[in-house]
Amino acid sequence: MFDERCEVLILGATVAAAGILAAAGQKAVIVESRPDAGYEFFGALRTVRGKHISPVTEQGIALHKRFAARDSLRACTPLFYACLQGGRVYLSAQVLDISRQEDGFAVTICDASGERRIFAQHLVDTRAEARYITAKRLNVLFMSGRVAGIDLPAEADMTEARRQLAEKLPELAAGEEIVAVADEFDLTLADFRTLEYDGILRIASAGYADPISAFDAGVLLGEELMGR
Amino acid sequence: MKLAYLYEKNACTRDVADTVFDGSFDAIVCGLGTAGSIAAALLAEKGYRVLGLEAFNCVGGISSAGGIEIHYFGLPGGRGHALAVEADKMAAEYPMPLADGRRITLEKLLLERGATVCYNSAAVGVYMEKDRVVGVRAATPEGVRSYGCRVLLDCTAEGHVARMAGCDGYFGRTSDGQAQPFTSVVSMTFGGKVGYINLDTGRVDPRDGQAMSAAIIDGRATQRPEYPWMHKVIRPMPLPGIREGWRLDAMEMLTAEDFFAGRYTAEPGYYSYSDIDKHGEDVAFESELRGDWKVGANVGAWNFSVPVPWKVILPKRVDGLAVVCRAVGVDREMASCVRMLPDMYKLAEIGAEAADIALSRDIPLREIPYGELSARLTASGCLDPAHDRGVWIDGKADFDGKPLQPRKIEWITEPEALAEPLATLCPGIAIWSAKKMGYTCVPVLRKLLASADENTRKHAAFALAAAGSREGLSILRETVWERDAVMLQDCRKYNQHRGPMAIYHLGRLADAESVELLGGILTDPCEVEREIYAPSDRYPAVRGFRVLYFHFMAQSVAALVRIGNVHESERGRIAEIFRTAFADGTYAARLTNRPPCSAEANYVRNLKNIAEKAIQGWSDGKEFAF
Ligand SMILES: Cc1cc2nc3c(=O)[nH]c(=O)nc-3n(C[C@H](O)[C@H](O)[C@H](O)COP(=O)(O)OP(=O)(O)OC[C@H]3O[C@@H](n4cnc5c(N)ncnc54)[C@H](O)[C@@H]3O)c2cc1C
Repeated sequence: MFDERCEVLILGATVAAAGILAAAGQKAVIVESRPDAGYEFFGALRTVRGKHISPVTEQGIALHKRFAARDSLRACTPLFYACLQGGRVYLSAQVLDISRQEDGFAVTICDASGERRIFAQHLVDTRAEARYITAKRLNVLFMSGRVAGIDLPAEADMTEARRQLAEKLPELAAGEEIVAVADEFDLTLADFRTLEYDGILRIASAGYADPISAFDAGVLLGEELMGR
Repeated sequence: MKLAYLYEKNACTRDVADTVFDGSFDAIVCGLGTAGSIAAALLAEKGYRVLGLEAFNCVGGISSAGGIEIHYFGLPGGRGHALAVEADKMAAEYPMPLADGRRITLEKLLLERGATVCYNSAAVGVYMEKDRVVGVRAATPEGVRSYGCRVLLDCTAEGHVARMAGCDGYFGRTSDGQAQPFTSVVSMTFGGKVGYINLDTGRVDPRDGQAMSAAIIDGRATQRPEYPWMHKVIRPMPLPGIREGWRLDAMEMLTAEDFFAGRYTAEPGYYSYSDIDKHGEDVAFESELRGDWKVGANVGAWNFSVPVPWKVILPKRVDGLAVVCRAVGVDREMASCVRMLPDMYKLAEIGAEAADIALSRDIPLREIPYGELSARLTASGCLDPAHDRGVWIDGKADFDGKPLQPRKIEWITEPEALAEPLATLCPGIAIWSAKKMGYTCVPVLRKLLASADENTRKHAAFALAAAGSREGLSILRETVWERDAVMLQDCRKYNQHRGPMAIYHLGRLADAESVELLGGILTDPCEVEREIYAPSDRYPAVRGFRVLYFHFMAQSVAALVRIGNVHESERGRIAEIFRTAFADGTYAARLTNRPPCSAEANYVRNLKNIAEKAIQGWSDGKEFAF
């Protein structure tokens, strides 16, 4: 009946998801609809908010050390992807259905190979939920390394963001050359730490001030789920 | 009504009689990438109700979120191309890379024309009435939705929708089923500018979701923060750089065999113009047609124009569906010629015009009159007989990095005229002309074998082999024996070295006498110490990979397989050579220290895999097919 089983199925290949994966290993499956991962930090061209990063888990501390050796958050992207290597991570995979079972969840996904039904004891959603988003920003990166952005209302979509970006470009760029426009919004969330409703655990990776904190929170949640 | 979908890579159906569509459209375009964004805009421009479903969050696909900015080959002309140029012109006004600007301007053109665009929405199923597509099932941010349509354009690059609808198709090369290496495209700053670099990251089957995910992750995990010849990495581009994937079994196929034999379509939609070079160092395991062209004659990076049948977009059995992306009905060789950005714009136009005719007359796509379609394509400049340009040496820079003066190739038809180019380091034209002439050129070439000039002698042996003659065998063997590392200069890139070329010809002639010679290249652990294989800075992108040594080895494996195919009595000896050569990982360590997920590690593994497959096939009484 099921094509695959796991203890925890994680929605979103976010940085927090990578933390859960670090704790749960092959017992976890990550399902991501996008072709990339960690987009809420790396794709969003986010800069670290706040000064103090103090991971508490062994994995978080180790990743923090590796990140600290690089000169920008963007330069840490490969280090983040390395956290996903060897894991059961399915990119470009769409969730078609989630149904509660007596002892867990039945999740139907669809990727390039087709449909697949996965049984999971636990379900964790690490994506940002629309209702908790209080603000959005579309960042751009300049040749100098400077990051600036346009602030948007919570309900703005990418089309609206691009329209506004085109409009505000002269003011935003002020003669400087942009080297990249973000692939994802830089989000501000009202609430993002672990919540549970409908039996689904929610931990919105994008809500954390920096990827190490998101990863660390993921590791802690993963350890809890694995009963450690 | 049935819902067609994929399960474990196979097309399946289930009855869904009670489905109520969440909306109905004249046309649905799945995938708003390079081709899809243009096709959707052209159809919307004609006043149709068009729904565009895009799995990612922007339009442009590989040409925007994939970081492939440049129009490299392909020819201009047509409404689709004009629209793309218009978007690019507007994007050039923005102080940002074209790949970013396109997301804004293409989207603007699409919305201005009234198309409905749904991002983060992927087609996951197709609704069908008998063999006709009538709608699509999509995973959207609002949940799973179903939409009805009269025509569906599959612009997913991979023919994802066509595969769900049960269309047949092809994938990979004959020898081992693999496609060209896939790339992690990375944007970088260098010299105050933004550039993109293609970091080839092994081979993957894009139809395999899990393998694809692992390949993307491995590719990005092994990227460095900076590369010596560029400046700093800005970011990996979010869409994976898949060059080659699934190809439709179309109502009319475009094949290299037909093209080289001079068999052209009676119903062209446009002329493609590019080369069939393309990526992957293990060209030794490609088809013999590509081998003859690229290795045997060293003309792999020469361009040619090909009339592309308009029906490459139409599946054989399924109606209401056209495949308008790089997954059209072409064979592998042609796939690398017919996938440039301008090709996509033209296919988009053909798809949009064909859909318009079918919709306005209420007839199946396959029944639209070619006369009407070709008149429209001709009027717009998409189909232009002046684009039938023949063969050209074209491009910006020549093999030496100096500016290249584009020049047309006229094949040689007089055997006596072969001598002159054979005496140079650009003998390709003569080698391929000899192949075309066949036995009539043998007497002239035979005389050249006795020449005191090394180029003439060796290149005449290549030309003889190309013409099917064995008379130059001893010179071919001598060229291998010497480990001749001279690189020819016919092409602007990917020029072949004479040693591996000679091995290729020995294989094609199934020369049993060279088994020992070739076996030595594979089994002698000291072979690698020859000076010619020393790492050089010729290939900065593939440091940690002995390219020339690899070519000698790969061509030797392929040649021995060809010899074994023809001479059953040699199979035992050849199998023993393969077992000795590939007994453990030491051969791989001599060739590369690149990570297992790299393209180079893949090439190296393929040596052993091909050898093992050949041995297995022979023991089952089967010849190995290239
Ligand atoms: C590394 C690399 C280098 C290249 N270099 C050049 C070059 O220099 N010059 C040149 O002219 N060409 C180049 N090409 C070739 C060219 O870029 C591509 O062949 C061409 O862009 C493909 O266009 P497409 O429309 O088929 O696909 P794409 O542009 O990839 O568009 C496909 C779209 O479909 C979407 N999609 C996929 N599945 C679904 C689904 N199920 N539902 C909805 N949407 C879906 C994708 O998100 C994407 O947006 C290169 C290609 C690669 C990979």
